[in-house]
Amino acid sequence: MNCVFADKVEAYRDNELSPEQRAAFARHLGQCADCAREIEAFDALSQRLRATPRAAMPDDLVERIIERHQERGERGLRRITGWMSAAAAGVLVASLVGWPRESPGIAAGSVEKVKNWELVATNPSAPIAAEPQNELVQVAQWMADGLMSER
Amino acid sequence: MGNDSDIDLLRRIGRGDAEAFARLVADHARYLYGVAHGLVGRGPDAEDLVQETFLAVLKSRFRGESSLRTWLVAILVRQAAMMRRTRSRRLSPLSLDGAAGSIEPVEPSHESATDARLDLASLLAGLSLEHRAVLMLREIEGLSYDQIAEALDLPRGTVESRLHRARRELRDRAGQSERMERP
Repeated sequence: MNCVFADKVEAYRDNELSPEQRAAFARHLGQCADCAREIEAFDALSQRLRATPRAAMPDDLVERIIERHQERGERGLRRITGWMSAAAAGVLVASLVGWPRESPGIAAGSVEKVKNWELVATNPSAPIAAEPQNELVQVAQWMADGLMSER
Repeated sequence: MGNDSDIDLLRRIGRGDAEAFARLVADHARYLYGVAHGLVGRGPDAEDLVQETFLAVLKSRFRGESSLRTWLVAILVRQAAMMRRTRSRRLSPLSLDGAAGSIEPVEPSHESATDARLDLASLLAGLSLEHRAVLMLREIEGLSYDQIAEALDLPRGTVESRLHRARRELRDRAGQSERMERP
């Protein structure tokens, strides 16, 4: 088809032209047999497509979709519950493993400090090389020195 | 455009409201099945496509820029494209263009073969998914170019050119079929 309006045929049929374009094409259509034939052919094709009965949906499809959605939701819930249980177990294990080290009452460093304090108090001349001086040891040293000087 | 009740319904679905999901399915499944049938043919493929579309609703976001139905069609068409890609990888190294990239051809119905009546399935069989989608949405569902562009996530110009090529191809096929049926 060699008409200059050929590229407007489908947009006209589909009602996609502006009001001005539509009016101009409608005027042209009255005078152009080619465009009129083209529109007729598209209309016929369209009618055949629309006349075909729509596929009937299986009766139970709605039910199956809803069931599958529910199953997926339950699976998701079970997965989340599983993750939460695993996370809780992890936290518990970490707490149990870490707890004795964190406890100030029996920490290894504290035991050393007490030992050093006793050593200094009872024998001020004994060496305490391994443990850096801390306040308790210094006080014990000072008290022992004081007692020794009073003798 | 999406209205408040659609948005509210989808919000409820997002919060896990099973009743809201059931309502969405009841309202739109039949329509979507019709579109799915046009795209991939009758049977398990169309059913799978509708199922996957509704499940994908839970992962998609409705912005209310189109109607709920157009948005659902958009999801369905994307799912159909995913289905096609999966099959292309699994079955054979098909090219990405036109008919070669389409889902398995839609089987012509008995009526069309025996009565020489061309029905939707037989006419659309063999067209690429891209062409089938624009034709279905325009000719059967009556969507505007802008709505199709929104549904397929394409520029409007691409919709127009694709629709033009699809119609030409369909006309050619219809013409060939008629010539073959003549004694």
